[in-house]
Amino acid sequence: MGEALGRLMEFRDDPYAPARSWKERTGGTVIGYFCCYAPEEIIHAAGALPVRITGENRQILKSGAHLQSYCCSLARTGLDMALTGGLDFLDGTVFTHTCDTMMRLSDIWRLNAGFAFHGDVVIPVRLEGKAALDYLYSEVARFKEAVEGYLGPISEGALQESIELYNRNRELLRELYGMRRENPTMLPSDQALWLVASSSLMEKREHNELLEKAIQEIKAEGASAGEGKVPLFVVGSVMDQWEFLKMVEEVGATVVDDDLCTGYRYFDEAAPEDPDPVMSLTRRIADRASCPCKYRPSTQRAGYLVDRVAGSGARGVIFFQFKFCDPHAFDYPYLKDALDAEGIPSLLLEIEHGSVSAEQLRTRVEALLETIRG
Amino acid sequence: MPVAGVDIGSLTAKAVILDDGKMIGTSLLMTGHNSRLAGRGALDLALRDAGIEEGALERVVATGYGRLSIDFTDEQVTEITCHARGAHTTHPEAYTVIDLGGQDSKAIAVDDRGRVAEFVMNDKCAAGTGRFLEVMAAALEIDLDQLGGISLQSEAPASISSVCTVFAESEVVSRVAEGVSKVDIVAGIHQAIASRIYAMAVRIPIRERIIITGGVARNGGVVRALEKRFEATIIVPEMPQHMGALGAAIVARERCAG
Amino acid sequence: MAAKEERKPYVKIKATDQMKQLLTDYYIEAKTSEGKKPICWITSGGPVEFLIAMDVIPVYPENHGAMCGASKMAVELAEVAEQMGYSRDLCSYARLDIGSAVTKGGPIGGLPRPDFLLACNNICGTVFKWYQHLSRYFDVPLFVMDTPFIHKVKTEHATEYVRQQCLELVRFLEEQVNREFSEERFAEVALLSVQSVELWKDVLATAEHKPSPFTCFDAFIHMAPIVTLRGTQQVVDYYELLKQEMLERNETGISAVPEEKYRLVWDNIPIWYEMRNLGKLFSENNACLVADTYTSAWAVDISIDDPLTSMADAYTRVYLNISIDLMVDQVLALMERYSADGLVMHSNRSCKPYSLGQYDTARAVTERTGKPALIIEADMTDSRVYSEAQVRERVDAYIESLD
Repeated sequence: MGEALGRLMEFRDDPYAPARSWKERTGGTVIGYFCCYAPEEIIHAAGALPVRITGENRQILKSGAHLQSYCCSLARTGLDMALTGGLDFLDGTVFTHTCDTMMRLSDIWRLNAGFAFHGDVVIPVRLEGKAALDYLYSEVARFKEAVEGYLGPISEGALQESIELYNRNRELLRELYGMRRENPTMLPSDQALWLVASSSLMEKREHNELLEKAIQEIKAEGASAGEGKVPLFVVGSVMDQWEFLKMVEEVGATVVDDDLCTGYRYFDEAAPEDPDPVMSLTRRIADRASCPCKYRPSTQRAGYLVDRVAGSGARGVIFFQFKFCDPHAFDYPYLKDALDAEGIPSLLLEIEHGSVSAEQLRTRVEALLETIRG
Repeated sequence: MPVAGVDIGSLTAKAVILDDGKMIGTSLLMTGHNSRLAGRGALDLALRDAGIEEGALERVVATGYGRLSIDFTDEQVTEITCHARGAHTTHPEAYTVIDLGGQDSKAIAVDDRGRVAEFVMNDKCAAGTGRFLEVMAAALEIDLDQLGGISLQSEAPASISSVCTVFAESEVVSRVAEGVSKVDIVAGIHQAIASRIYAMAVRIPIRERIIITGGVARNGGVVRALEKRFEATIIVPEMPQHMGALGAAIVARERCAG
Repeated sequence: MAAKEERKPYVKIKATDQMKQLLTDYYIEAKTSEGKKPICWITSGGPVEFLIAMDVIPVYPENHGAMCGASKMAVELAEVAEQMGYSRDLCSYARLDIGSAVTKGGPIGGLPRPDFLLACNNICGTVFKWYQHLSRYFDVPLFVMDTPFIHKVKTEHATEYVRQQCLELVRFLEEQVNREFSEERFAEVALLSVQSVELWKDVLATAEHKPSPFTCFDAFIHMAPIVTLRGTQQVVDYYELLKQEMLERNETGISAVPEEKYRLVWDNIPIWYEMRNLGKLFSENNACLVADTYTSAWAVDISIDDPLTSMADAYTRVYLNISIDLMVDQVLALMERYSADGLVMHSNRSCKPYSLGQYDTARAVTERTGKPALIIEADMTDSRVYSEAQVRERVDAYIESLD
């Protein structure tokens, strides 16, 4: 393993290590967020470090006093981390409007987690049409004001610079994905998806440097072991189950592409060039790929998925969904039917942080592979 | 004049006879399929233990899930009220009552008057109850009564992460196969049960002292694991399983007086 | 228990038969209009006034869902959706509606086919996903009215956004029914809507009386007209009737609970399949549920001067579209106004916006008033998750603690 790749891999078991050490080194402000709709560039331009929270494999201790068990483990374990000091390196958080659970979690978090800064970006559910975009623009601008209120003025120049930096990161991640589509075995899927995740856990400039080097290293090394792996496509929201992905590799498959919030949807679409950086961020939110929390024409997502799967060369699809995740669960039958119509085998896995058993899932993934191999 | 409290739970039925503030008779038997008969049996045994006739009782109060099927008592009161009353009366310094029964668990916040202020129950699943321990003891082929003592010997409890009793059982079997010591596994089980109970209990305001009632209170390992979670010492009463019946008898006494 | 004292018999509300007739006529009209008059399926928090003004028949899958729940037919319908691949953890209204659309099951033989759909997400984000399914299933257009959530303060741009969408809705409806929107007609409908809401508020206010003339279980039944027929003259007439009857009860001393000892406020959607049993359980415990946050949600303030703007505002501010701290203020106000001794919260698996946050609300209420809250775990129509023994235990224990 190359040096840069190694440095990125080494904190996978301690994902917040870079944030902690950044904070110690710089004395800066760390702002947590849950969803890739969060306008990170604004936080970055203010000199703070945006860090993504995706929950954790843990037993719930305190969040059960605030959240019933019938909401997703992202919310429950995330809140539990906040209430038990697991997020003590955070100075604040920003919540974006996505689903009902996150909507309520924002309130509960604001009332109980005790961080100095709390931002809400009420992104509209409709992302098309003038009314929605005007509203979205004002909302993004309002968030910028809120951050400025906490951390001081953000110049347009600084914001443009941050946007450029983030766009560079997106470009690199797209390059990585392109490489894997062409040669799926050059990097195991758990490492590939971690490279995306690591981007949301450390300073962007640093990640750009390391990622660029890591890509060179991976190219130089060529194909790694494991020829003839069955290429798979994964659909879902958060993917932070590295043991699961390792198991997928072990049974002879590899995730070659995805429609995940912590995967492709994190970096797809650059923020378009615009003299008004707030407009640039607004347009990026509006123009990105469909997240089930946002309203697009009801017959769009299936076509999008089928195209992505076909384009990736994947021979099967895994729906990797969190139990109690309503938006994804509502889309599932529709998407599955579309895949069935195209003769693409798929598998639905329903999981919760803290009770993912790679062994239990192994049998099901193997069964999917058997179906694919025929 | 003596009063009686009868607690018909899903697994065991208990009775307590109180006279002048003292327990003069107690009983405990398996409930079986017939709550009414079990309640009758518990009361009769306690009367015999006390050496008095039923006619001598001034009042009888029934509690527990089986209380509604009883016809020989003057009143039915929920276990929540009874456990709170029993625990707080015998231990006035206790304001948080954690009842760990065979098949359910509850946490009760008691106010300054000894009344129930708030409560929370877990009666949907076995994790955190006596049943959980029974299943684990069987999986490890250890006597249920020895489980607590064994857990206290561990320096490095194994991690049992499943929230569900059934899956936790298979985790235990896996740990055994991996060669983890039984002592550490048992300690891990106790940590798991304490976490489940703690997560339920924090839904009510925790005010010291904390007291634990119900059969599982006799397991020192659970008590110790809970003390670690709550970061407080926990009171274990002399007859934890009879707390509900005792509370019912106290309620009976109050009704006579007032 | 000691021999029960002679209980005064439960006095049935006279207006009930009229209400049932009103709803029956409504559903008959809806079902026989398929193919003749335009039919729109709309969410319970949707701005129905626009539909009525365009002579579109509104159909409420949620109201139908309540009926299916009350008739204990929800589970078999939900199972159809589950077999289609819809998770059992999804909202049970959505599941049973998706199932009913396929089998035409339920107490009225299913709902009439929609010509188009209107989903307003002021009540939850689930509705637009549910209606996306319906849009695909029936192959009809869907209009989503997006009312941004109010975390602490309602922004001006949110107000403008909703106002713009109301204008968009008008254009959408004109296209769908091929006629022009009449401002005059809309003003008429808005006036009727305001009148019916004022009367509904008056009806609810009669429960301030000690003892209360009705319980929230009655209110859950008698709310159907304000939900489904708001904006029509019949609804105004009906609530006038009901109001008079309740005032009369207060004057002549007829109370819903014969020996009202405890007054409680209910939170969340009703447990539709257990209304009678729950009514009895509380009544036996001498407790009257005198007010609730669900029926109060339709007691909004609309100004007749600029109905479109004030409606856009009212629909955005509904109880479920505001943050928990704002909800707490409303619950406290309700408890104060109705002299409540406690709060009963239905932790409803199907409704996250209503249920997540209840634990914090319960704590805040107890902290500020000293009054305890009870949380009952269930689902509004999916009776598979309901445990009568557990609920009875909790209610009994709670009432004991109020002593």
